[in-house]
Amino acid sequence: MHADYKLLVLLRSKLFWQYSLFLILLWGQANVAQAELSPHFSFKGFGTFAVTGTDTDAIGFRRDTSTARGATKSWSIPTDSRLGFQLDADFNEDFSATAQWVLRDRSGQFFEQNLDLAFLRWNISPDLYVRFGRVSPDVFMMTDHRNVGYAYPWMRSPHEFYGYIPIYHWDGIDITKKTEFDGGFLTLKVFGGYAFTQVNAPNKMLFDQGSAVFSTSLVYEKGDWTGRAAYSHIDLNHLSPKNPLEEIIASTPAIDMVWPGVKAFTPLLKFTGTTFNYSALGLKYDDGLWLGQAEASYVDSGNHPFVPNVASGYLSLGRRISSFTMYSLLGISKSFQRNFDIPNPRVPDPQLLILKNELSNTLNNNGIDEKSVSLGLRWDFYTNMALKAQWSHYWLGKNGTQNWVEDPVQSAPSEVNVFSVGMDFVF
Amino acid sequence: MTAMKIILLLFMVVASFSASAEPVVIANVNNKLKEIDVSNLQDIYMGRVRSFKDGSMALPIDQAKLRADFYQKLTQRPIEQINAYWARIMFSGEASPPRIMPDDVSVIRIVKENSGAIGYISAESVNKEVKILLRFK
Repeated sequence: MHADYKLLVLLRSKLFWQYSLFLILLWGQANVAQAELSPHFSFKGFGTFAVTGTDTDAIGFRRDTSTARGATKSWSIPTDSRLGFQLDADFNEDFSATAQWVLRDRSGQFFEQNLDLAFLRWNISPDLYVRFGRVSPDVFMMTDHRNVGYAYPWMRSPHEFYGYIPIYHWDGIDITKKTEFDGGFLTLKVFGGYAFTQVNAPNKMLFDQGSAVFSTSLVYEKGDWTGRAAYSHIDLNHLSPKNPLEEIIASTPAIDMVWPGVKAFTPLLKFTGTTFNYSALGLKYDDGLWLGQAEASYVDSGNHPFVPNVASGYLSLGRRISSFTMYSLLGISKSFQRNFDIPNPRVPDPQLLILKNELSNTLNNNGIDEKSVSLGLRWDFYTNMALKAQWSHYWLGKNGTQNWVEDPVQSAPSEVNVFSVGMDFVF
Repeated sequence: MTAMKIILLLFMVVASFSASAEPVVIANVNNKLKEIDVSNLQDIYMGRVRSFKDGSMALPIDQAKLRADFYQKLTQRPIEQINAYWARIMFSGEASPPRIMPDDVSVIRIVKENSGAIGYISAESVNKEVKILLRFK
């Protein structure tokens, strides 16, 4: 929490942004001077400075579940702002190394959870390479460059699709093989490894999650088209601390006497051992003037009450006119959450009633049910810089606000407008 | 930002597009290729392939002043779209874009010193230290 607060202060400080700009300019000069050195080192980066606000204080808007803070009527800078630094070292034709660290508002350890790339790359042949270390997830089309606003037209990756993915990196080995096929390029990538992610539960309690991961994707690029199919399997095998409710119910021997039936819910509170299967299809078109992108996914968790199975999709169409890009975006996401009726305790003890309320929240308040329409504009006003403005209107179903920061007292509104303006840059 | 600064900025953007030159694609004299076709050149410069058609490694080099013209001719797209394309690839750790050299002289030097290097310079700078693979029409 302390580190998060420091980040917030840092992002809000004018001096920080001025200093960053100075560093950017300085490194721009250094890049040219160092270009001929071998081994070749290069320092580069990306960033977004944006303000985001909504028309309600009853719920907070966040990019995704990696943070427990959201934008409301009081506009927020950390919601969509971030600054990434990358160091590449090319040792020779066969070996290179890359590290990337992103300053942003996210839960967990300030340094470790913001380190998104740290790998050694070995080019086995011109069309085959292996990376060892920390790499970006390749689950959906944009999971490996969500932070890089300059790379895409929207203010942020589509919320319905990317909002529930707090994982920005995992550690292991990936192998990428590229083949020419029918006038296009076919790229197969396979990853195996481990993901350590710190996330906040809806009650803002911070959990460490460790998972074994297998992920594979197949991408076909031909002319203006890109098609993609991917599958990821994630085994959650470590969670700490344990869910406190699980402990309380299990460690109270006579609880069945005063609260019959409650013990039946304890297996549902066990999250460790849950497996997630992510399946996704994507299609992208870009002919320089028109652009389109669509993805569809299904995440199967065995319908665990904490993360119910969810189906999502989005479609975006855009048109460029000179240095302006106008776009529209439609998104939908719906989870298949069950509703658990928690029996009343026999004794109306206030503490048991609090526990009942907490149990009901824990099991029933994890659904996603949202639809949105967005309109936006990107203006590439200067080399390596773009200004963006986006309006999004969300329809939120009952019990479907898992991607948002829920208010402990007020109930979620059924419609929310989100406004944002920002500047993306790379250096 | 004052109106003056905006006008200046717009002027710079316009100026960077209107500077037209005819980039000539050059390679090391020992490169076995006699010429290169546009689609192969595009694949090399967009990072889709890392070798020439004969299998030898390719090291593409950009020239800062001709970059916008070159990519416009190569891909029919403005430079900001090329930069956005590379932002996705380099910051996901997949590949690095071609190194950018400041002028023709430094491109020639790199091409001369590296057998796999390929670059582009303005036609009047071409000398016998490098060989021409392609002239844009």
